[in-house]
Amino acid sequence: MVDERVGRGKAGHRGTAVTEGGKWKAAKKLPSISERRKKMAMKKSKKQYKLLWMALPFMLLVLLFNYVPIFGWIYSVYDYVPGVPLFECDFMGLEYFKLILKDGNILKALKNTIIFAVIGICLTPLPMLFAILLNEVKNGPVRKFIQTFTTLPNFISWVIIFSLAFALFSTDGILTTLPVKLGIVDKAQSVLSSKESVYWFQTFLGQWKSLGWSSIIYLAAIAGIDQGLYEAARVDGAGHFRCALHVTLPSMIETYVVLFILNIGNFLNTGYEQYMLFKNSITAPNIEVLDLYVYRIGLQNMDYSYGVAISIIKSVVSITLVVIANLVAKKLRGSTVI
Amino acid sequence: MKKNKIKTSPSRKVFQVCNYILLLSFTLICLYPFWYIVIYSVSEPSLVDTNPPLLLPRGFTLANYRDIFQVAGFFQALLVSVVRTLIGTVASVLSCSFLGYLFTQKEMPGKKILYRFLILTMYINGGMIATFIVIKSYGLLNNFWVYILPMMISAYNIVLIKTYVEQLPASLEESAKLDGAGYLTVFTKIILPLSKPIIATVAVFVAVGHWNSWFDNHIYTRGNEALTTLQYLLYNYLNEAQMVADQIKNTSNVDGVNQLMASISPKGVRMTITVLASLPIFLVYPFMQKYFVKGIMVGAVKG
Amino acid sequence: MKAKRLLALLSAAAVASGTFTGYGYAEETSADVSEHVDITIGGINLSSSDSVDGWPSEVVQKLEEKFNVTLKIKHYDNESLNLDLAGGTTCDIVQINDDHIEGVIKGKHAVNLEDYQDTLAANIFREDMSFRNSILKEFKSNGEGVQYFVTPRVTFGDTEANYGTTLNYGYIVRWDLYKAIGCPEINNDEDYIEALKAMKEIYPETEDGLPVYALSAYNDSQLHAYFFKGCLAEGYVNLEGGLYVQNAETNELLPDIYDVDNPEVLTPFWSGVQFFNQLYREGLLDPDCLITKGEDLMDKYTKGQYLGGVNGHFSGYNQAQRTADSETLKEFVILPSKLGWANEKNLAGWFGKYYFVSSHSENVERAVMVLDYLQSEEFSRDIDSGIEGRWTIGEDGTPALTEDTISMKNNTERQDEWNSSGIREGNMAGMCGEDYYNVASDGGLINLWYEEEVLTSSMTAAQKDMCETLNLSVPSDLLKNHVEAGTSIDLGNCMNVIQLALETTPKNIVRIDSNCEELAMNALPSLIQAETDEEFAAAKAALLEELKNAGAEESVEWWTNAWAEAKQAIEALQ
Repeated sequence: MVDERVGRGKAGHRGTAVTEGGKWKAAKKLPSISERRKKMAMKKSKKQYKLLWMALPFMLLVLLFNYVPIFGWIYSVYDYVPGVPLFECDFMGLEYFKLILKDGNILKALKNTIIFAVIGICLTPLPMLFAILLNEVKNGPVRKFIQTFTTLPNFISWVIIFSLAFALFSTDGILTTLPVKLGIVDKAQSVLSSKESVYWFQTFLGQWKSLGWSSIIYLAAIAGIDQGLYEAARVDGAGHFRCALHVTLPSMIETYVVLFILNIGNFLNTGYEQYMLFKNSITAPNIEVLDLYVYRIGLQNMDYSYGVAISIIKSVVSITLVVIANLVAKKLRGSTVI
Repeated sequence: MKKNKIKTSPSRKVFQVCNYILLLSFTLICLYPFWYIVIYSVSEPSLVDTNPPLLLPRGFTLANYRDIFQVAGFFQALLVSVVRTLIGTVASVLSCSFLGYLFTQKEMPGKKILYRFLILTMYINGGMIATFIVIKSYGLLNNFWVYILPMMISAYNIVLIKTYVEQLPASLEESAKLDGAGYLTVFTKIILPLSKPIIATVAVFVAVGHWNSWFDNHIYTRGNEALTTLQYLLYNYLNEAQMVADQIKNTSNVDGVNQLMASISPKGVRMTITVLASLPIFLVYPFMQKYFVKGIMVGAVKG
Repeated sequence: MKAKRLLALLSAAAVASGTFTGYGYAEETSADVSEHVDITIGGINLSSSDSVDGWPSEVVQKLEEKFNVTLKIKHYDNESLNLDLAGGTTCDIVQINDDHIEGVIKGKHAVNLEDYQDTLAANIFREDMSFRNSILKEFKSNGEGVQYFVTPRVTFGDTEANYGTTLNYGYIVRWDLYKAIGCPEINNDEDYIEALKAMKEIYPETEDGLPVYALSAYNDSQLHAYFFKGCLAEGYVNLEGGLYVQNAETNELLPDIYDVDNPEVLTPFWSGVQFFNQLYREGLLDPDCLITKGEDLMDKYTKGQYLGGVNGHFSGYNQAQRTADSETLKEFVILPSKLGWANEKNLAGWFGKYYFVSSHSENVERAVMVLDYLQSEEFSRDIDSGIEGRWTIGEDGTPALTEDTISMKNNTERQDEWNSSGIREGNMAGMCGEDYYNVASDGGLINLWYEEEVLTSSMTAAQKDMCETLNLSVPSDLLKNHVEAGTSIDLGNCMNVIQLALETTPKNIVRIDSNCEELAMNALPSLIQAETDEEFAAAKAALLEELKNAGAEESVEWWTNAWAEAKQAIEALQ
């Protein structure tokens, strides 16, 4: 019952005309629709190209700032020494790409990257869930309080987070010694010096830092929901839970799916800062991700060309993943996202 | 309706209580570290260095803040940051939302290719050196516009906006077009007002991105002190410790190591910087939230 | 679209290859300083002048007036330096390390200083610098035989050094506690561990109830904490990264970590790791030893949680204690280890710091003049001892620091004045041409703080107490005694100029080395936390096996040959 009604509500959402504000009431006074359609068809092709012209300046910026620098990929086939004109550097051919295959560190880093990425992907619904729960908080000030303060960790740099984490979680740290003092365990083990806890602990920190912030986008989606849908659902006897399930959630799912597919492409791009700071000789085997490795070879070994070669391969992987995800989406939903 | 409400009440209450507990405890986890940073920044340095604060500052002094404000060029850097954030946000939000809107137009020729061309930028980059050479050849080194132009078009934000606009009732736009309104009119009169929540979101993303950005300053505008941004000024403090660690490896000379250690700013200074760096969110976010509170009323039941 | 992209690619490639045409030198070079210009010195690991307290100091102001310039210092990291080199946008004067030499010379970023030999660069090319200059021409010119660079802090051949007031490295102990356990003699790591144990017994926790440990390592400087501890204990100096070490007496090169070919020698890395392992087994080591970074270490020192140490991270603690009570005995002091870091002979200056004048500078001549001045005796004296007036020529005709200057140094209330005097300001102190101990033309040392009669005047209460208790005139006398007894050595025989003559490490060796460093770091937990000798031996064997698989042998071979060649070349030059 409810489903059907909400479904109709949704149809209305796409189809019914606006009456609010009265701005478009004027439309009713105009000549018949078919007449206007004809006129429009004549103008159509001209208008279509107008669209293109309007997009052009912006696309030009994209070309200038995002595509022209791609010439830098050429560095991957030279043994580039920063400062030396490129064509005076030794030509290496595909040597660096072959090196990727031979480099055992890549495999190790890849393993960690994949583990972090898979955990990350499993947790992608969290911001959406958070937004829904927050939406259920009807007390205005409390809601604002939660909404504002959960975004704060996003503004604390990783350097500071590490230093806070050290204060809390090192062997003498408050949170490490607490279970000992409470008599729960008899020997304190710091999570910072535990190889086993790397994956969940780093994920926890990452989520803590970003959850509130990334839920903003879903809060915007909720704000965009036609209030009429809720009313319609309520008229049909849907409770809060059903409203959330059948109105709130569907309105966010589109955003979620699009972001999900875009993020699939960032599968290998975990960033390095967090991992670099929390890396030590104990956690190293589990914490070194691909981005951190690339950072190391670029700066410590001054191996610029090799770094570029790896980033090209990463781009290829990213694009492949997005294309696949997009195709899957097409199969499942009938339309592509990108 | 009344009946319904009464019926669902008990389970609803349980849910509400759980929900409040859950969200508030998460808020607490987010809040406490920040609170710690705040009280550390206003505590007496000599007291907190040996014994960190827990719930309240130990002693009280604004010396850290005074020191930061006295850093050479602090207010100039603040001005640069504010100006770039304002100009950058307006420019980026307008162009991203307009482009995002254009991409919702089915009749746009080559729409799919252009859109993909745009999305692709999220996954490719030419590397730092190539980008630097390109920026230099455009004459943007040590130029204010290097803060604005490269960041202006963001594929990610365009996707967000496009997705949102596509979910708006198509009828609005159609009837406006039938009235002969051009794309620009439709965009400014219909799309922008209806997309307030997403525009506000993107604006916050972009503004915070601009405010937090130090890397472009670090590599493109190092040569012009007048363009130093606040974040870059502060970033240098945050990374002193790492810099010193790198130097220790290469320094064995007599005075060196002690000098190096002494050059690291006290923790309190870095805590102060963190507080200052996050202040804008308190200024911007509440302002933006008002666009979130009211959902739009379209296709209302009465219609 | 394809055509467009191709076009973009081509145009960008053209930009990239934009040839850096060699700099056309001015025909006539004169010392014209009538126009005021900005001169910026940028360098790896220099800190920006904006963040230097008291900038521009008296010393800097003097320079600025002399050459009618405004002087600024910029920080470079590898990233930003690479970009500036790639874009040809480097500062007027640049300081680089060995990593960048090839790029600078091949890309023609540096001005040939010899063009100014007879005009603007008289200080650089003075007689005393000729050995240094010949080394740089020979080994740091990519085979061109031209001098592009200068190094700082050149020790002249006839320089005699004393050991200063205090030692810089060695066995670090908290003086009050060390005194309380009766100042047991410390001659090696075992003695040191015994002393630390005794100190912990009388001081098991801090006044705030925090646990006390012997010491901990700093893990953000790669393996430094571990091999450096060993270098001091065994008498070696390390090459960067610590995979190879140079015997401070015989100047031999040894593989430090991959020691299969020299089983009879305990190399610094293994010495250091064993030391940490011993501490661990005794329960003295900070349980967070493997995760503390330099900054955490300084925090814990400030809280009073350590009894000893490896490096200078205790300085903040000393300072805080002195500020609280100027007569405090709670200070860390340094006792001599086998290697005393003194009497360094930098005959070709410090290695790893090469200054050049950028060919992209808008004011090449002025930059040459400034760089030349930095190399001068006058500037070296200024930066170490302050401008004239901070020191005066006495009745006997020799220079000496004024009483006021000496009292200013340890007076925390005059900190601002000290900063603005510019004396021993960290950045510039690493830029001047002459070694601390060189004798200036007025008969005084470059660094007047090292004159014998000043040494005793700048001691802290704890150091004075140490001298009284141990019957010394200055704390560094301990090293003097050890050297005389033959139990310690100083750097007098260490020819670090050999490191300057090493050829550039090829990329495949760099890759192997950085891999080996990483492997060694990851093996630290199993080594340091080994409960028994067997466990330790097994962990070591496992690491050596991994190193071998990572190509350590190839690296050893390259380094051994390169070292032999460099050593030979230097001997031939001398």
